[in-house]
Amino acid sequence: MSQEVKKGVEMQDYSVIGKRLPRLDGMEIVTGKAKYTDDIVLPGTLAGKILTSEYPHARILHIDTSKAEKLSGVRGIITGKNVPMVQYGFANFVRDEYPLAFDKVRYIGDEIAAVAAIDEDIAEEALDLIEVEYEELPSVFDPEEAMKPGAPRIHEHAERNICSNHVSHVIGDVDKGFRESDYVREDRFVTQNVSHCFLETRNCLADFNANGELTFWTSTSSIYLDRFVLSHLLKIPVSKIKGNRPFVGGGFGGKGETVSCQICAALLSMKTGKPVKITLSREEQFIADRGRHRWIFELRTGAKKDGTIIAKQCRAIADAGAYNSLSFLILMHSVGYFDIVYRVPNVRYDGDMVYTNNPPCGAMRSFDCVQLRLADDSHMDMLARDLGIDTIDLYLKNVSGPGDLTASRYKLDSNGLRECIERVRDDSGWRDKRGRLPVGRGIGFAVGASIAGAKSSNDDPDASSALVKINEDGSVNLLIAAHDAGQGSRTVFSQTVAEELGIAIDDVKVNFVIDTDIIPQDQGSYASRTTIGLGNAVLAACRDAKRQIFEVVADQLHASAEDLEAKDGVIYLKGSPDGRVSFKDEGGALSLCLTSKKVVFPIIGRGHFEPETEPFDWKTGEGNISIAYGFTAKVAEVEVDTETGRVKVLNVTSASDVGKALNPLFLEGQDEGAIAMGIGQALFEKLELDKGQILNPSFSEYKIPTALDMPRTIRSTWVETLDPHSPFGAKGIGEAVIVPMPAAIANAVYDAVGVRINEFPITPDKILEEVEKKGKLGE
Amino acid sequence: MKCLIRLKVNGETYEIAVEPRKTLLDVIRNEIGLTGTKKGCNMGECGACTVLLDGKAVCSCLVLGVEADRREVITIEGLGNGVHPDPLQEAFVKHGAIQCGFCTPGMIMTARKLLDENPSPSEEEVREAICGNLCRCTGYVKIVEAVLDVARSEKGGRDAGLLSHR
Amino acid sequence: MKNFEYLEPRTVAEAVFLLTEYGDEAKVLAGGTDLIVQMKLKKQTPKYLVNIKKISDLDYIRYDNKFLRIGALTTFSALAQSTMIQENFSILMDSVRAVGPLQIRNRGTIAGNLCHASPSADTAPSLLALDARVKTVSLGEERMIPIKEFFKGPFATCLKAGELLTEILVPSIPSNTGGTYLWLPKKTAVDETLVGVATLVTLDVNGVCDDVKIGLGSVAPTPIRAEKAEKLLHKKKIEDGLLSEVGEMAVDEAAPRSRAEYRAKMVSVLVVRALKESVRKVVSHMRN
Repeated sequence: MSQEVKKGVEMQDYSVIGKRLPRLDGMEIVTGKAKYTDDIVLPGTLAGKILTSEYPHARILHIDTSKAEKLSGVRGIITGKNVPMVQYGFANFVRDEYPLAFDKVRYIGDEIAAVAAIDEDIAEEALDLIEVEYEELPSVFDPEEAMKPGAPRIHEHAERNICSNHVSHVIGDVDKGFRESDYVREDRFVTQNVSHCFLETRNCLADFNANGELTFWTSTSSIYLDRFVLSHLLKIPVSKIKGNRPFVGGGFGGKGETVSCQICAALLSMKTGKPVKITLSREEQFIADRGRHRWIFELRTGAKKDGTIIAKQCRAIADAGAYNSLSFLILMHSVGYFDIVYRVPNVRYDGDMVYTNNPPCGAMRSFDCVQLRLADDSHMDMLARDLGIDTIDLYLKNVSGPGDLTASRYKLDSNGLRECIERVRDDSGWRDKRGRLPVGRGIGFAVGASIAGAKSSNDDPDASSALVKINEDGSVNLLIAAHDAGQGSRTVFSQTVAEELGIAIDDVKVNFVIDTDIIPQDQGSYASRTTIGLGNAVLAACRDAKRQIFEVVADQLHASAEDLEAKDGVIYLKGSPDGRVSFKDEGGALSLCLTSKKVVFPIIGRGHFEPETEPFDWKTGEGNISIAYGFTAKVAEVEVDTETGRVKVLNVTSASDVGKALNPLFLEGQDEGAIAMGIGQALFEKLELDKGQILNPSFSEYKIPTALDMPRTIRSTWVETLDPHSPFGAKGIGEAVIVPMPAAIANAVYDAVGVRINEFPITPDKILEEVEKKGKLGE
Repeated sequence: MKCLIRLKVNGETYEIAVEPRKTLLDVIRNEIGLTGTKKGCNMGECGACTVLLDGKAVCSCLVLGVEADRREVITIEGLGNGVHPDPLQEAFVKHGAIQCGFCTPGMIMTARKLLDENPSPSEEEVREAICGNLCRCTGYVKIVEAVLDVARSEKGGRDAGLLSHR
Repeated sequence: MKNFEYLEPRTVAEAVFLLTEYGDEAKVLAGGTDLIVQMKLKKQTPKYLVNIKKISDLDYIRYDNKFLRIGALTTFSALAQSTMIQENFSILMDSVRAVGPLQIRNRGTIAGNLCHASPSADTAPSLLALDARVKTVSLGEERMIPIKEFFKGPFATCLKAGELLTEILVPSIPSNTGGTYLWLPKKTAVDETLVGVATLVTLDVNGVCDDVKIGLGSVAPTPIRAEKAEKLLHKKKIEDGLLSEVGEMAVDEAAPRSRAEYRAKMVSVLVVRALKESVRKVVSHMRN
């Protein structure tokens, strides 16, 4: 199907696009009416709970559920022995998981059995009664150790515990580049495990009917993927599986893969003949989370005296944990993120994603670009200082630009990074403050980027579809699988419909729930893909519907359909003030359609879109995997209490290339939330692991920022580069905006007290320790 | 052994037999069927389950159902609805203070309590009041804006004699 | 949570009877902000839960210029709203601010907090500095226990089975005294206290320290008084150099376990800051 994309630059004067409109589903939420999965009630629902492994690496010798089955109120128990032995995983090239472990457990938290009972308290009691006999196996918790010969092998298929393969990306000759450089700097950084901490934990309500058909509700970023995995595992055709995605309480990349609790709910429902609901507790969520990886980055950069970067090298090792999840894909993306910011003639990136017996890590907002930039932007800040060049000037000298083909072959058709950098420099007062603030006050800078429309793998479908239904009264139903978990996508696409059809947004109704039987497919909300993907599909659907109306109106106006335009409730001949009809009023376009024989109500428009991207190379990470890329820059100002080491973020200045700001209210919200998350990662958040055990699986021990931890001033602005691939020129930016935040804070702390912390988060203890060491050196 | 409790929720009286180990949150959501109040952590750390118990903002996950016998509870559903919304509900929508919405009911209950007791809070006072309500999406910026906006307009209303005593 | 039997005594006598009858199998439920969490984590599994909130006249704040009496069921919000405490015992008000967010303060009781005996309890250092006492009732006996003797170890008090804490008594503060409680959270602004320091300084007209009390929280198995540090300052003129020495001595008396090095440094930083603030309060009061 052809994909018409109108260049945003042609439609400058928008009625609805670009406006600060509130959420269409806002009233549902604030009145408590919005239903999330745990709010859905089916009579007779059993509560499910999952038993997980106490050991990081062990063979399961025996599971005895007999005592648990006798507990009054228990209705069904499943173990690895009686579930389908089918492996699954996010991408079709690494499927290394089973719904329940049957021979081996590979991390503390690996799912072993599941119980359904008449209520949660009883299900919990039943878990305590299940007896498991383990044979402990040697375990390994450090990725560098795990790669050594003789290390315990975690998966049969993975030699040296490497997920899939070593990735090596070489452009030019870095060794020659370093020899030609006037100055070479090396740094090593270690980033920490971070948890998503969305407020709604993962869950699933599953119900099998008498015909063996499954209906399920779940908090997910990818309901169609869930349906596919369940079909694959349970061997039921997708037509017999109906997935419902109600309101979702946050995703941040952590609800994009199908997980054990969803599969177990379905299996328990199959076994008991009753609906079964599993909702992870907060503790269970922390353990099952699959958040950011711990990365070890060894960076080396060579530059000329004037700041021209000649060569960049990165050796990256990341701890995938016990299962691949999306880890290998994340490693591949890391290559591209290494190359997207600068123009460098010689690059080398060597990376390994390594299995260990730690809990698995996965996708989290920006696909770990934030981890890489935390290391690289800290490193580059030091490089700039060593060269005696202002950091921002160093970046501007080497920054990538629009039209670039990066070393990883990313096509940056739109790229506003330079403008973002200049904007934050000017808005933050950088020139007046850098190097001039008193001790204890500091200002720091960093950049970020993200894909804005990638394919998840070379083979899996990544098309987006949309249906638009125009009713006789002029109201329009938009049916899309917008996996809105707070980004406001339902509203933005409604704005798209209103703009394209020239009607009021109040006349557009979008579905709040995604029902896979009725709503056309979209793979989900991840990789910031829906602004472009679904946006284009919605536009195409609108144009398809519009065309049918235009043909009728064209007859009436004795013109051709191509000469018509729809705006502000009216359809008119371009350039002619007289040739116009109202869209929905009596006697207007829809009335004409009613009497015409050409069109039947509801008028249905169909649209779909699949991004044209390149297949990527598994061995090098190269290939234009996304149709567009978003960019951003941030400056943070901090105050460090030199006696306690505590850091206060005073203000943040931010500029992001969003292509086109479709709804500035939502964009600000994304930026502000990302700033909070970035502060958490920089200063507070770390999943503490001890021999595979998460020591802090609760909000009392794993702290995310509160209203009191936020900077009191945030300046968010937008750069509009009008991406050519995209509806109105817009690009998804939900991920890019977090990328620079932790690095900007790290650099600001250095500016404040002259101390560089190489392992994150930056805690007061570390700051004081380094300040004291520096003091002793100074003596 | 279940206990019979009698409690008023959003102005309506309910008589329920409940196990002592069930929390008020469980009672509100499962027995009474008001699902607007959310379970975010079940340990009193996130504030998503905030309700007003005899007029005081509390984490309902830390109150036993039996403790609410003969007490009055107000949940988000009792604060306002689509036809007669509370000004805070409207302001949250208008200011973009909602993203995923999971923290929103608890956040609004806390904010309502703040404004009832301190009608002209400073920004710091707003932040302090909501520091027990975690939000992972918004960074709290527009939430604070929405609360301050309502404080200003409610003050304006009072000054003009338009608002009756809550 | 595990199942339990729920009891609602109406009088102190009834409560004490039940607690004696059931001994270790019973737990007192006051605000529940600690206990309910412990029960959900299965760290506490009482067979009998004795809710004392229906007992009348345990929720009060009274001051007769000799003693401040706080009933066991007084919540932190009630304390936070008391202008009388703000005016006469501001050090206690400082502590209350550290306790936690609104929702916790509305339920948590000062007595429940003391009986939970977390080493990081925020009111403890202030009550230690104030030389407070707690009144307890058991079958046939009433005790008055100085707060210094109350804490026995992490999460352990000297309370016997069947003994109920009913009141906290705080002697009035002499004039020319300034009190401060400062704390550092573990990580974010709303977090358990990492180091808590309470100082109460009485000055004579010449700026000499007539009396000083220093309470430390979260840096030892129990909240403690830094008595050696106090002695250093006692009857001495307030001077920066001396204050630093006092801070260092307080570090010696503390015995933090985790993040020990950092906590130790913070003891001295906070002791100095708190003492300075207490002195500033006295001086500005003297001027008025």
